Amino acid sequence: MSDAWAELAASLIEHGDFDQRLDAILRATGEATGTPDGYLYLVDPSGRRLHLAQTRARAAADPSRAPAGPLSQQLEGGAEWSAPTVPLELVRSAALERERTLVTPVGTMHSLPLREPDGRIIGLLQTGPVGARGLGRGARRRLGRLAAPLGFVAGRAWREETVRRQLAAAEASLEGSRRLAGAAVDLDRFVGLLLELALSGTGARSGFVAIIERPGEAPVVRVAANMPPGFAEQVDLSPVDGLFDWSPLLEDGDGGALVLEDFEAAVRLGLNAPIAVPLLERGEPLGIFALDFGASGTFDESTLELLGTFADQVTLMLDNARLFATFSDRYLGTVRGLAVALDARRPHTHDHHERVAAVAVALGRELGGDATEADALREAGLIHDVGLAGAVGIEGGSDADVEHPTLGASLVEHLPLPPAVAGAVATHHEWFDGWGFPRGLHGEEIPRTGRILALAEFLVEMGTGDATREPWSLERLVTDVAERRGSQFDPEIADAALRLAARGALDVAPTGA
Amino acid sequence: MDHEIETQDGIKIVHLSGPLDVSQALALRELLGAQIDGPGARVLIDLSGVPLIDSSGIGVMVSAHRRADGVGGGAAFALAGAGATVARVFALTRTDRLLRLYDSVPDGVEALRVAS
Repeated sequence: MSDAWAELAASLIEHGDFDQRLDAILRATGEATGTPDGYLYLVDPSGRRLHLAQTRARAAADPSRAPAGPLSQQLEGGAEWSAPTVPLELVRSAALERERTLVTPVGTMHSLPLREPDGRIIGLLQTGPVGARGLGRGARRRLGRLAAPLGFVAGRAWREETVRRQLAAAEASLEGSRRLAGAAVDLDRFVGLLLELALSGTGARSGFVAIIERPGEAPVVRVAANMPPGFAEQVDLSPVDGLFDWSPLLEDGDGGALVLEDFEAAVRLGLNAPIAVPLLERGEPLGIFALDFGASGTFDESTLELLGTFADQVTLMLDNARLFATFSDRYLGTVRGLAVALDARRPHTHDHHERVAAVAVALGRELGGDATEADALREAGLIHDVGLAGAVGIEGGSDADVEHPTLGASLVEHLPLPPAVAGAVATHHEWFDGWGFPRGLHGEEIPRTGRILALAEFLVEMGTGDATREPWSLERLVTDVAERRGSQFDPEIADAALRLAARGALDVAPTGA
Repeated sequence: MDHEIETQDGIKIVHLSGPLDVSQALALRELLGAQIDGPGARVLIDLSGVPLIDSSGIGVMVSAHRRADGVGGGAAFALAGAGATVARVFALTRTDRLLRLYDSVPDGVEALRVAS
């Protein structure tokens, strides 16, 4: 076996480098045809163009020819000589899809399309230069025998390189997200991306990722690709009676396993050759990563290696997300505790944050807001003045007081909370007409949650009173809100408060201190 | 999936051939269930003719293993001769920790004979 053949064969079975594999193709072609130059093009992801991926030319040994490589060469004395150059890109056409002799900018070349075993074109090989009558019969026959293995090697190299690039892109994207907002990763998006990459990398037909959201509970399908319609709702993943027996894992995560038990359900769900991998971290089950290889599907060791790699990536992502969620919960608990401690310092502010949260939620509902907005209003209400912790008792306290909305927002803006929470905290002292603080925002420049929170706090504060002022009656509150409608407060939100008051549903009084 | 059964020193050796996937799972469960037919049954599965196994095939093997544990009387269930791809599926699903796996049929026969 010649060196080039040995290299080509080795590149089939070893985890070769992309460039080495393409080199092996050009070397084997050169040996078979006896021609010195070769150019290998690969189809781009759109399938419409071919990009020059590798060259093998005499240029390296004989600089005077320079058929490939840089577009020009420096000559002695600094003069620049433009060498004929090989096109870096070819538009795919019927003419390129059959074996023929072609006149190219670097000479007359023999052109051979490279096909995958299923007949699809993966690339184009140009070898030469050849005479006007084309490649000799013997060389053509030898090249013909090589065409199928060359296509196979090129296809495999191309797919592996594509997966490598996609993984690199996914990693970069994940890293970007980690940095953004202090690691608030959009879990489903990235798990979905990994699942897609796993499908394209392994050739699996379909797959899903199920995640255990709370310890001891059944995993829930979070992402599915190409599974039958309704799969996520129909599949039962409960630990005892479900598709999989989870009990060995739940009993002993470190030594346990994931076992498919309900074969009838597997058939019903359209599974054919599933491989389901338990996702474990520090002995604790986090979920399932499953690929189905389809009716005619087969897989080999390298496919399973890839599957394992993707499962590890998903595990890492789930573990990071869980650690971050735990950290965020505890941190948010601390911030809420700080707000409660501030309220407890004076009798008139007792329960202030709780009451503002309740009034804000009531106003949001009156305005027809959804549950997500109500959650954001409640969370923002519970912590809206926490920035005062940086103001109270500080010299020059009035400046710090003006900044407390910004300070408060900065304490929570990196947490995986709806953005409306930090937005509301930051703007709850802005006025609708632009006369508020700290930024003097106008109208709808202020997020709706901020406009609602502003009125809620006003009602609670004035309805409570303090050491120097009696609490305002409901009538006084109604009169003042009506007067400040359109100036301090958004008219629509002021109207909602007036409707609540008219129905006797505006409860701003303290619960007792 | 095809199979052949031979008996060696009281150990039933089930030689399987062909892929073991969802379409074969029920037939495989019946086949293995019939071999673990009472206390003291010793069954060795020869996987050298199995090019691939999926989670359902693994599930049947684990069920058979548990069944052997359940019938008692020294009943035993083991597997031997898994190729690289099949062995990798056992590792990925972590069932290699639950099952008794031997490199070759003679190794498996020896282990089951000693255990009896």
